[in-house]
Amino acid sequence: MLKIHKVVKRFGEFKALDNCSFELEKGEIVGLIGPNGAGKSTLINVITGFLECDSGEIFYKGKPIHKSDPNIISRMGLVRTHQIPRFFLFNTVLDCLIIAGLAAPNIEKSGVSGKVEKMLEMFKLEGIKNEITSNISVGQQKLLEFAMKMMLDPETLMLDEPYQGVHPSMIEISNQIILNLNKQFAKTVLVISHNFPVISSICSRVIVLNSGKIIATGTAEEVKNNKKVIETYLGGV
Amino acid sequence: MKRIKISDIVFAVLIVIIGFIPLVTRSSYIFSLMFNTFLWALCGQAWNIIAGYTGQWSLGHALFFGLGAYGVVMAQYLLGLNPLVGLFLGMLICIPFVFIISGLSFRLGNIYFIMATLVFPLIVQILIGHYTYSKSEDIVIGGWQGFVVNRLPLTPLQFYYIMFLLVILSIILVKFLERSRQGYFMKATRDDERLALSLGINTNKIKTLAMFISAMLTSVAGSIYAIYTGYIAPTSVFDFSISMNIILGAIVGGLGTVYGPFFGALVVFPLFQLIQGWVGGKFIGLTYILSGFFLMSAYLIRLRFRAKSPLK
Repeated sequence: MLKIHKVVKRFGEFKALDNCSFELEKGEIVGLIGPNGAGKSTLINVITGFLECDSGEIFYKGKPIHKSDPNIISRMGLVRTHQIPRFFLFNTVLDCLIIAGLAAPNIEKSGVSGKVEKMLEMFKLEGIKNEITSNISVGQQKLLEFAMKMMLDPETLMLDEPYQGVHPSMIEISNQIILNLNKQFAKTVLVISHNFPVISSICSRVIVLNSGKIIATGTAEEVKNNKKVIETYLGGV
Repeated sequence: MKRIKISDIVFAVLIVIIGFIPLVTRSSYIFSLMFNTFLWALCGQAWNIIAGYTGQWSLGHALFFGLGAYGVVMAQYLLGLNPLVGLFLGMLICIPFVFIISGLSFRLGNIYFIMATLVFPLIVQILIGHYTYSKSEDIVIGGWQGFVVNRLPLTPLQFYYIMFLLVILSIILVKFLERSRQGYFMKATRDDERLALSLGINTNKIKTLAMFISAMLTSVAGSIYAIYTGYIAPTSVFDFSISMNIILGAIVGGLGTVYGPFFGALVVFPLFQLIQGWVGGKFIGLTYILSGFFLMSAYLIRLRFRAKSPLK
């Protein structure tokens, strides 16, 4: 589905991504973990076209996307959310979803409102649909961006820290949604998080990133017992 | 679902009042004053599309205004055609410039975009200033001296209504645009370009489209200005004061609103004319000072307003 091959991204002298290679299979839920500054968000930015990689190749469904613009990558069905949630300020939750719905490919203007209703219900946002986006909580804002991206009906989702600063009950909501999407529609999901217990509960595979290098991949259990990972998280002995 | 807002009612009332002004007075002073107001209301509405709805503050709209005016000149002098053909010629000339400016400037962020657009009318002004046209050996016209434009056999009253109609049409156009898919994308691009991109919206295309519509309207205004005044020169139509007038009404009236540019122009330009008439030739720069004052206060009021209620 998604193939990242020897991707390098430099910021000046600093190598944010150093020869990263991995693949996502269709229908997988993969966790991406790593300490702060490991390059997790940079990796998502590079994959979704917001940053251009210095070398290496990225293929989505067999097509090279490392030179494509972010809007084109999004149209191909590879959609991301942001670590700091993005939504349209000064608009209501409903408006945000409508705009996202209008941006979705292959959807008629008349079909948008029905889909918005469905999304509001799925993300439990009905109660705040007429609130101005700046007035809702950060957790709700994260769900809102997630919901907006779901309006596009993407095949692959990249969620950048969907749990950060979010109440446990809301984490439960997102997790249920992710699992449902995965089961019902075989969506591929890549989740960035620091929250290892949550990651291990939903992900079939975990990738560990440190200083721009992938230091371990495997099931949550394997990764947890990996020597390099323990060193990274607990400090070298 | 659809409800009538106060601004709709005010607009309707204003249209009726303005439509009936010629029944009350036949003063050509009033006509010229209102013609000017309508002219900048039309330009302001055009600028509203690119700046208010799409968030790209182009300060170089004098370029399209001037090209529209010179379209009329070209039609008359080079092709020997009716000035009205020039109106379309002006729009045609604007098209490559829309793409040049869009291609070059949209890559730049905010302030650099403003600076880049500021320069374009100045470049074209100098180029046209060096272009002279000679009909015979001894008659050389054009260049910095400018051109005389054949005036159409229209009365000030007719100009008044033509311009008024164009303003109303531009408002209808924006009202229509606001509810369209492209209009939503414009607002999305303005509010958060990164988010718009991640939603799959081709923001460059949207910005170019907004620039195109905006340029066409401004060009039409420029053409009519040329026909109305009967004389244009590079310094009169590509000047920064033109760009200034274009943005003034829109900012004072409220960017990103359908009626803002119209209301704003209706307040600002008659007031300027009155003040200018009142002080006479003593304080030439007074209107510029007032423009600055208006822009600042509009911005401050907008900040307070924005903090309280949503901007749609």
